[in-house]
Amino acid sequence: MKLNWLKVATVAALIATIGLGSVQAPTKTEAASKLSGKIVINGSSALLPLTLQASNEFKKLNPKVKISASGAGSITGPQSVRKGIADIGAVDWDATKAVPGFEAFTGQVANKVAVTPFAAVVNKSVTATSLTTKQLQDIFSGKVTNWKEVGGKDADIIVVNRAFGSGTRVNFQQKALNGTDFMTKGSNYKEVKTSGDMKTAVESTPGAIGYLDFAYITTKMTGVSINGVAPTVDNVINGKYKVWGYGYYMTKGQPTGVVKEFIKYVQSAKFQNGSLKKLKFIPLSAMK
Amino acid sequence: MNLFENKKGDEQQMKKAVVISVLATALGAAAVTPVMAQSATQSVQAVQIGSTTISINGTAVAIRTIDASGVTLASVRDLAKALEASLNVAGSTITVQLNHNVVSLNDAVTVNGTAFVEPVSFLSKLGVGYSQGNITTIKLLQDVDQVTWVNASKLIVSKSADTGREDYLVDAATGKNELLLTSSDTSELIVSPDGSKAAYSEEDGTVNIIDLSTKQSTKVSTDTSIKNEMQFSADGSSIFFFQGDKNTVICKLSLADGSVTKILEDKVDYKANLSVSADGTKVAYFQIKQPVVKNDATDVSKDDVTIDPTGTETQAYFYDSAKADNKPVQLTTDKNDKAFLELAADGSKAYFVSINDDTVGSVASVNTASVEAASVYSAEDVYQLNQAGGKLVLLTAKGDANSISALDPVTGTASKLYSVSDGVSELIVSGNGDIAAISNGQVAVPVNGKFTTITR
Repeated sequence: MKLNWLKVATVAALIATIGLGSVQAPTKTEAASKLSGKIVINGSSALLPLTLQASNEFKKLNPKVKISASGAGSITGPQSVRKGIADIGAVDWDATKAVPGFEAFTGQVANKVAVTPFAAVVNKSVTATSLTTKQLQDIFSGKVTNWKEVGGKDADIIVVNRAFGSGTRVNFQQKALNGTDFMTKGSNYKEVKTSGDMKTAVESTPGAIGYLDFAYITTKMTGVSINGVAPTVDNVINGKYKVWGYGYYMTKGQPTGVVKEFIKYVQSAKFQNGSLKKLKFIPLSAMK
Repeated sequence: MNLFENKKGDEQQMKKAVVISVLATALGAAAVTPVMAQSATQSVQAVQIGSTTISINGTAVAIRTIDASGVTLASVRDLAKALEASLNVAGSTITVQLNHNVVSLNDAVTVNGTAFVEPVSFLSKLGVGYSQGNITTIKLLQDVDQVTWVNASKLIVSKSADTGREDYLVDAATGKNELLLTSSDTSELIVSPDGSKAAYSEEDGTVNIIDLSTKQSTKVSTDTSIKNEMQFSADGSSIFFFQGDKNTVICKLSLADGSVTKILEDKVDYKANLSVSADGTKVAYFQIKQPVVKNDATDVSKDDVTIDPTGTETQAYFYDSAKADNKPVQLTTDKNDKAFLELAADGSKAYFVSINDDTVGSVASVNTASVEAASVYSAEDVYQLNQAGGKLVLLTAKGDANSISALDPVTGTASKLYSVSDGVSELIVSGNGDIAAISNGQVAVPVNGKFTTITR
């Protein structure tokens, strides 16, 4: 079968040059495909799936832009930007402002990219899947150590916490625990470095409770209702569920060049309403 | 050459978008008789009547033109006739009506009894759309997000809407469009190879098929896992995709019973650019690795953090599901960046754009059996690669010129199909080789050998 492109080739042979452009040709910097450069992104592991999905899509439009992304915890994002080893610091709070445990990062710009919902999650073996704020505070501070004390089975509670510097930890402590301190040691306490490690720990540890952003929640765990409100996107948007925060891309000053274009892509309606939603984040526009 | 281009004035940019090519040169000088002597543009005393060809709803039409002090004017009668608009002359006033739009002209320039008018504002007042060399009375879609071919004469074009997304069936020749689907929280539509149906996933991960003739959707799978990069198998009976938020597993969904089968589960996160052989047994993809980050958060002010990217270059992998050992073969080890992976229909070779440190792109291949690499094409800087019917369609650049070429992957011989402007940023290529180009955010397709924009 003769292919269409061969027919096109025949036509093209007759017409030497066909301009798509009666439109004025843009400058090289304006033409999306002409963008080139490298972007280094580090920080929030919660935002990493979103960043890498955006990177895949952006690269199809701008193949000459090389993107390297890692997620070692929110605090390393603005730290990497301040140190000059990353162009974008992904972080789960506005790092231009101080939060408990962390000073403000001056000279950086917080570019809002997503709404990140968080949830307390328990291993599938746990039957107490609806807790009050007080019960969560008691569990994560170590006051309550057995599930039967909060309506579950007679089984030890294993608290899985994120290491200091995690943006998920900052958000969960502020919004789910109302600032109550975490326990820091003990036989029923585990500390993990990333969201991926948290997911694995909660999935595989009977009696475990931890916390994750929605993107990491799997069928091998259960999201906990807080004060009777289920952790759902709808409940975040309608204001009933309070454990969420904005995700930010920190940049040294206003973003420029390829970094600016990448952030624009992540903020675009196409990405916000497409892949971002699919990954269980909430579009920025939903919270206006 | 842009015959509708004013050399001055606010509408200069818009006029640049209107024209096309010259059919004939000037016909000869003639005296100008202004309808109203006061008009500035009527002060020209001698002009040549020329002709230009414009596309109206996809049909080439010759329009007489004159140049008046750097302003290109077009024949009112020719435009009205081409647009099938009514035209009345009463004294010094010409009235043109198209649908509900009525335009009265009393400042037209007449040359040998023919009235000429500045065309862009005239067309605008008539409610006529124009975009990149194409005049249309069809209401073209605007600000589109996504394009995919259905068949040689039709595309699906998607755009964001207040309620989510709207998908339209669009005629490739004219841009005429009809609404196919309004949805929210759904994935982009993918079209079956025979163009009869499209598939999309809902917010909960379940998958629907929409019949492109009846526009009726049917749920074909209740599996709720996250599905990325969905694509139909060559025979249209199943859909391949990356499963999970981190693209960890490669799966196949059967349209017959909705069941999901794992093709590759190697527990390695962040795969990208899935490509599947025609028989559905072999897959290729890129593996994206993350740099190793070390940090000590004891004293945040010290910024004791390092990022080590060693060994994280994007690499191509191949897996033959017949082996069923979940051990994919690493096809590449070099440090070049990579994009646009395509697995040959028989799975024998993987092709991709290899981008060196100077950001110059070339086409490379790897034999999936011997893992032998080869350079296939490097004559021009490669920006995009698509596979169509055994050929590779390339978007390339050399100097300031962009080209679309067809590359024979066996011989490495490239045949230039089109020279295109610098504004072309993306090609949409069907499996049969139909080509659409995204130029400055607008969709353009070849109509009678000439790229014509079909969206605004």
